[in-house]
Amino acid sequence: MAAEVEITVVSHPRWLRVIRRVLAEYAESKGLDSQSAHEVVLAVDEAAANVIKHSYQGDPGGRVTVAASEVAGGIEVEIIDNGEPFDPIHHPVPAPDEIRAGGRGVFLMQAAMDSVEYEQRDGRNCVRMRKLSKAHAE
Amino acid sequence: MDLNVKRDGAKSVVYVVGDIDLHTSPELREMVLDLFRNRQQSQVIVNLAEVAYIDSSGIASLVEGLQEARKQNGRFVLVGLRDGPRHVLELTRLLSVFEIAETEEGVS
Repeated sequence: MAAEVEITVVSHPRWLRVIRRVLAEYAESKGLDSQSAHEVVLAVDEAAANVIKHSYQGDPGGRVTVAASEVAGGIEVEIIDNGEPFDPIHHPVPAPDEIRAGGRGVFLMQAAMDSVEYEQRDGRNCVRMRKLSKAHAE
Repeated sequence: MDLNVKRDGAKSVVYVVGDIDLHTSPELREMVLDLFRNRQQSQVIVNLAEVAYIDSSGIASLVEGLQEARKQNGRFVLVGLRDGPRHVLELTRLLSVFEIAETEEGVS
């Protein structure tokens, strides 16, 4: 399925803001309520930040692509990169009540979205997430 | 993101303007830790009234501020939480971990 909206940025954290703006606009254009749109933005931001930190290990010379599509009842977003294989789904997730500083990104992705999947496709990392509108999620 | 600090004796208020994300959170973290560790501050209030967005790295910076405050027997307070950051604290189940006030005047 071809994405309706696709954006590619270099793997530097300064461009996360641009990804957030594009995704916020897309989620709202598809009729998601403001809390659901915020959750999509949050999950995609966390996924792209993981790519920068883990797949590219802070090297700003890579590329991160975010592709958004409409699916029945909501939207699907893919985050694709060419970095080192990194499966966030099976990355250790700390117990959320534990008072520690980091490591909450994947937990937030899973809490914010209806589904989060990872696959290696053509040698690239691909995280695929879905958010259903509240009427479909219930 | 812009940071401004107002100091009054051993109490500081950090005013944050803009998004707190992987790009900007290190600056907030450094500032809060510096206030506790090097500037002899015993109370740090972070005013988030102008922050519409925070990610997990921003949350991690706030948790570190809280941990440092506890280590120094100090106090770390968040004020002016907007819906977005409040929701992220709810999702991470940290809302009850922080001392939170509506306004600076509400911090006793």
